[in-house]
Amino acid sequence: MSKSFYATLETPSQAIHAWKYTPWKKLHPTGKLNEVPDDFLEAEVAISMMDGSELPSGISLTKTISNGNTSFQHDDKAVAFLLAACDGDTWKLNIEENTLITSPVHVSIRASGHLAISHIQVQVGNNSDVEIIWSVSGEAGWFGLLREGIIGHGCHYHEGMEQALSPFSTILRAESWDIGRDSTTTSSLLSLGGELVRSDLRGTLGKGTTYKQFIASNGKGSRKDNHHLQLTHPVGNNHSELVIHSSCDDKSRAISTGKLTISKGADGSDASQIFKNLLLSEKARADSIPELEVLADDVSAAHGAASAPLDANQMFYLMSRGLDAEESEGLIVNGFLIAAFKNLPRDSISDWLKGRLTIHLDCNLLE
Amino acid sequence: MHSLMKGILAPHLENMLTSCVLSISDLHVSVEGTVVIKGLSLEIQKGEVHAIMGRNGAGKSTLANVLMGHPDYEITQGSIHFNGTPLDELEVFERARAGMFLSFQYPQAIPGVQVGTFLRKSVQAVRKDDCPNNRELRDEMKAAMKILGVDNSFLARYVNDGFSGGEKKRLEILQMLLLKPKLAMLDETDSGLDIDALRMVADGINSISDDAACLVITHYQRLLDHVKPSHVHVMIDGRIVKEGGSELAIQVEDKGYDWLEPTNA
Repeated sequence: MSKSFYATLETPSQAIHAWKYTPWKKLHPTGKLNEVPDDFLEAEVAISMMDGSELPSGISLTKTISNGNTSFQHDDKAVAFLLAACDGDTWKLNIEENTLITSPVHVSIRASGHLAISHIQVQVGNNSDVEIIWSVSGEAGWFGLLREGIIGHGCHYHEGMEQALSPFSTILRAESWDIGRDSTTTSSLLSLGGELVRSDLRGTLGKGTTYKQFIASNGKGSRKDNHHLQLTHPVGNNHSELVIHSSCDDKSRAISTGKLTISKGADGSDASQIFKNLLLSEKARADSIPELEVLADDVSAAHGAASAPLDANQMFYLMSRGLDAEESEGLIVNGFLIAAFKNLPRDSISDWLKGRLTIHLDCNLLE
Repeated sequence: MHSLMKGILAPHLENMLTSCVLSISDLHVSVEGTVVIKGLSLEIQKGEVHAIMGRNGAGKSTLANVLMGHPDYEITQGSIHFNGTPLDELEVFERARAGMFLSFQYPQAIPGVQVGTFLRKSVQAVRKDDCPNNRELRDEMKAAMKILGVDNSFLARYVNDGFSGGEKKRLEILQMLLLKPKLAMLDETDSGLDIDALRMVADGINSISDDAACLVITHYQRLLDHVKPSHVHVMIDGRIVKEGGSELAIQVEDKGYDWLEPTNA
């Protein structure tokens, strides 16, 4: 997508929920809102097996030049910016039909330099069963990540991502996922890095599909973490689940919006959205806005949002077991964030995420 | 200590000369302005099992929470010494590290924190000088879990999250066995337990009672069928109104509490 096309798009209005809290001008790397800088560095992307074995046949990561086909909405200013910044350079992670991989695949994305960008297309062939662990790291001042996935029919696709960029980075992430018929997909995100973070995710469910998105966000300092998710059930007899747990310390802020659309005729849809925020200081803030648009008759749709400070009774319980206040708080925060991944079906991903979170929180204690 | 010396020395010096683990003197406690405990005195020696019985609202759980240092309770008068140390000098976690343990009536769920992780951290914090290595701790856990009839999958679950009433109480006793307290306070640990679970919990309490002092808070006699108390105290309206041996618990079971009301006594 061209820079000139990007320039024709209007800046998103702050009247829209998804742009109310962090306007485009705050995210744009230069502040010249109709400009796409020329000096983006491509992030390094590498693939391996978590257990150190050779990459099995049926899975490949290749660099391509995009022909412009994309599942993203063209009129989205942020997406158009990212596509223009990529200038066609795209990584393609291809998983062939009927691929069954028992050990998790690891994809690392390392973003360096003043401005960094990466565009990754994930294509999972029908009847495949894979687990992918994504590590996003680096010291880029500004990083844009585009991921679009097409999950075939009858697949089991499970992924976990640790976003651990520099605490000073600005991160703009946009994702679009199309889940095929009778597939089960879970996506888990541990959002740890960046000072200003915005993630937009759009998911579209096929018939008989299960799609679950779990997010745990840890905020400290002046970190501001925005998550905006749109899940659409254009057809029925499917299930979506969104769980976001955000812990906010110091002056950090978490913003989560979830728009759930169940189209007319999509009967048998079952959807839920849960937002939980743990506020660890008086200046921390969290805003959670679930939004339901249900046009079908025979559906189950639920949502809930809650923000609370540390539970004094939990603190007392842990301290009565010999843990001091700092240790008790750390354990509660760790547990609160881990609990976002409670319904993850694959132990390998959840164990990895738990391990990464524990290391991150332990490092925080040492700072 | 010779009885003539009693009352001459300061309480903490008295405690040092005896095997007195817990000494409570003329304790008055308020919660949000309401006086709940109104002058309670009690001494517990090592190896003794004291049972406190009383109706709902008598102040039994308040006493347990005050001893453990719950911040909602205010001591307005009196003193508490644990192994000679004034308790008001100790934070909650310091009391635990000093050897105090409270088995809660309503144990808190800590979602996302696995039982195994929690136990390991807790043992490391409390048994600093006597902390087992990982292999020894695993063996201790296995032995304690066998007493309580729980299997290894227990360790992977989140602390009290989705636990049945019986499972919560077993986890409390499992912690007690691993933390090896000098003073174990058990607040209504028998409530919600079936007879088999009650026996297992009682076995757990009995296994530590020689080396520790125990304070068992209960409404009913049934736990005391399995855990033999050396002393029984009946609390009514924030005061101990009657003390005796294990026969007092049987009397209470037979006659209820009315006959012990100060106006009827």
